[in-house]
Amino acid sequence: MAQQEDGGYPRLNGSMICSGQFNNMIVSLVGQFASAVPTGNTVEFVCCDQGRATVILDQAELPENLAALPEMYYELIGQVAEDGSLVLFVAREMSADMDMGTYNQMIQIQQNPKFMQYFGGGGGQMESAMATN
Amino acid sequence: MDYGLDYEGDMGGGDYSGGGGSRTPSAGGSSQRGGGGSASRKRTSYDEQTIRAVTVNMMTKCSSPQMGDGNGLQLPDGRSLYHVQFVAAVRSLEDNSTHIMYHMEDGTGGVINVKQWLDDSSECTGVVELRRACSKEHVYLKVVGQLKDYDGQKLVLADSIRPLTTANQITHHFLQVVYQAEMHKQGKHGSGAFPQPQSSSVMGFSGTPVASRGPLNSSGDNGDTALRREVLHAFTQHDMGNSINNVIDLLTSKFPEEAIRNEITYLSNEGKLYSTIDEDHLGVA
Repeated sequence: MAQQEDGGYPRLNGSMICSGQFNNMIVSLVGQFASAVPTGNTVEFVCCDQGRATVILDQAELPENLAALPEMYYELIGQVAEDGSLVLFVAREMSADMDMGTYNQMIQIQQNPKFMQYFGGGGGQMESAMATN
Repeated sequence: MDYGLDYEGDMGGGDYSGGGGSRTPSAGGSSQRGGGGSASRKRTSYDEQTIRAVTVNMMTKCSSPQMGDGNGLQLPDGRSLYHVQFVAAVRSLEDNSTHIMYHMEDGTGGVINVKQWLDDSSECTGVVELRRACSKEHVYLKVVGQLKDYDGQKLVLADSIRPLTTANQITHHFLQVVYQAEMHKQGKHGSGAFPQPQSSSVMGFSGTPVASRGPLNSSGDNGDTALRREVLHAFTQHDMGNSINNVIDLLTSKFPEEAIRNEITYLSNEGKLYSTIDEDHLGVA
């Protein structure tokens, strides 16, 4: 797999992260935490397409005010494990009014090879035709 | 150093309160803010007065000029890059006494340095608080500034740095990048010089408010495109453009005078027509 450019990471949704095409890559997931309380060292994350991903908290902790603001959306930066879970590095607070539908459409546009010149490899457009999920 | 700007950063609302000034050490005394309305000031091209929505990848990969003065940066599609706006997250920052240096990324590839000059003597509490809100890691900011190239290293001299009011600005910005680029492509390859926004576009928005889309023409789908083409052609008749009355006289046999005047007003507002020797003479930008 080609090395990712510094600062380049693809933005994914739930179905993309489970596809296996982004394993071992650093990616971005935007969505909400399903729960403010982790189960062991993992927590469920609801992605922008309502798909769910498992987030592993070995490298980072949950955001501090997650319990106080359960409706807040977050951007998670982490590495995709072989099983499709995400090892969390950084959680960035977004806003509570973020439109997931539009964001989901936007990331599919980013994945379109036609627009790669604007969004770089980002660590990788999907090699197959644009995802239509 | 004269960057050939009519104004220093007075664009998009002139958000100096958050920008901390746009002076650079090399600018000397010539790049003064709001620099006077001297009649001898040379007109700058509209490219230099256009703010382009870009990604970090576009900025880091744009072609650099041969000279080292930072001017003349260009995107692969031919668009010039002077003033840019982008949305990115702060990866790290360095707080110095005279400036703050942000290292920002947006996931498209690369890290861009953004320099914000400080002017503590003239800043109010609000400005200081705004800067404090921006000076945190992993916070998304909207940046407007001038893109420079110093020995191959890209740098943005920020005129405005603000935290996002909503994360939807991230989505909006990326879509705006695509929209601007595709509109530019259509303008190069389309049938008319200024193609109409498609109402059934993939993204579902047209990008321009209805009021500023230009005059409606009841003569059919291509009516206003033909009018626009004719108007623009009429203004290219002479080196110094053409007078408005001459153009109306030329075209009044084909189009109503009011439609011609409306089209001229629209094109002037869009920056496609500019005044030359006087207010009545316009040329094509």
